Amino acid sequence: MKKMKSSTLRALCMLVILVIIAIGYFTKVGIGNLSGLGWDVFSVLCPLGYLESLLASKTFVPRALISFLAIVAVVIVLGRVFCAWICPMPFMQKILPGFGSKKEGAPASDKPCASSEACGSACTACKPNKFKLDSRHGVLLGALGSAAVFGFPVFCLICPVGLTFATVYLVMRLFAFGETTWTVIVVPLLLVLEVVFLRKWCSKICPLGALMSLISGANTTLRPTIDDSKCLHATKGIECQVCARSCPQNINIRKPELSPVSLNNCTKCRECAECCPAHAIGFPLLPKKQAGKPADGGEALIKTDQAN
Amino acid sequence: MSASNISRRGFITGAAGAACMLALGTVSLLPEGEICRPPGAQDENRFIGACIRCGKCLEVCPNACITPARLEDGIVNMRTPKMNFSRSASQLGGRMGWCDHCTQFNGGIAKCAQVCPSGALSLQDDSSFDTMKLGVAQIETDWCLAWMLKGCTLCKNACPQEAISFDAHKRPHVNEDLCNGCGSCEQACVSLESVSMSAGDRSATTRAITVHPLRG
Repeated sequence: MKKMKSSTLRALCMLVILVIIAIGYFTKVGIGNLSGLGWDVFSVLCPLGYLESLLASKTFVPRALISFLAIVAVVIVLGRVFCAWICPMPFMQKILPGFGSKKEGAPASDKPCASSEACGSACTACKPNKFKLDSRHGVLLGALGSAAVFGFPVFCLICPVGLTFATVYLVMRLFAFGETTWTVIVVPLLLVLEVVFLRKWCSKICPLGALMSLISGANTTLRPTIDDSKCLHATKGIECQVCARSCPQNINIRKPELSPVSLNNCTKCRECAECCPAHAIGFPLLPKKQAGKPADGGEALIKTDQAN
Repeated sequence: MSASNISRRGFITGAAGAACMLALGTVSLLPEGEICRPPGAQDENRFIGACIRCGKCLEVCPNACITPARLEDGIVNMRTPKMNFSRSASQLGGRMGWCDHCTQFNGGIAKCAQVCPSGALSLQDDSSFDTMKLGVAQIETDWCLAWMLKGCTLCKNACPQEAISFDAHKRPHVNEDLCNGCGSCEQACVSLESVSMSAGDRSATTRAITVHPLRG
């Protein structure tokens, strides 16, 4: 049986959510959008929006906290699944041509062991799955700080998720009610600028992704796991690296200690599982016990150093 | 956090991003248009801090009187909920177009505030149609038909609070203490809606009675 490609499946999932939200705009049930998705009085609030709004208004809202904790629980169980399956940004970047920077992930795929030099000299910092900060966390800090200083959720103004749904809503209102305003030009324009010029939005800028990767440090379920009895690297010692090259997040699951990005950034997109020539990668619900893992990692490191 | 936890490049990009976020925050220093907010949002500072522009309030309003604020209302206000009592009959499609605090459709509890996930719209316990104060109606005497002595009485007829009274010349005046800003008068006003009369050197740009937010 021919399975549907993971990328097609992800695009479909995102489109279905988009259509449900668009229909919801002209019904009265209050589905909302990804900033506050739900049914009538029940909504899950965007976790970043919650933190910004908490800091900006300095008011404690119990229902918003409950919704935040619910999101935290979902992220702990499912990881950053939002980023691959729900967020419209990666999909838009795929269909719209980019300017200004190289294709995402290109440097890492040219040299999958780009960080081996650094790792060789300071390998204590490169333990598998060790939490790493990156530029997104700086943006996150800036977004929260700015909300606290200026008293409004600053990032919400430019959030591509918010802008996407605002575009859908404003265009629908334009045709339904003839509401003409500069907003209906400015909002899509801002969105297109972000999609076209900030090609590394997801890996370098997005504070929402940063927040989720902080939470998903606690995620142990549905993690990509290699079956060493099938993996070409483990069984035959072939420097295959297909999984590392296919990963949109630049995670190297075969050699986590060489990975420039830690595993809590995994969005469960299933690209690696799909690309693996030996079909050795799975996403088990519960983590398997892997007693021999650190030794295996060390061995892999030595091999790579020799290869270089 | 130790220095090895983030690459130099990542640190610089992150710092630049954070600086951009702070710079973006300064748009709040630009002048903003005055906006009438839905029930439960009359403390403007608290509201603008908490609203994440999810648009749920606009979606559920059974009277179709909440619209997204436009860029013209200010950058920070953009996409936040704005009371709009000047929507035309075709836009309303049979709905009221003014705020009755959901007396008719939700037992007197404003639906917008009920669904607001961020708490930006949060009703006081005693909030009702009679106690709400969304703003206060003001008459544009330059193009009000009644002020041109044409005998129009639409706003007075529409007002559920009996806040509009006529003077000796049958010109309307608003009693600001009685007016709760529900927008019924603005919705009823015909200026700019069907046939608009030009009024000397000033012609109508809004309806002749409009609800303005309270200041201070």
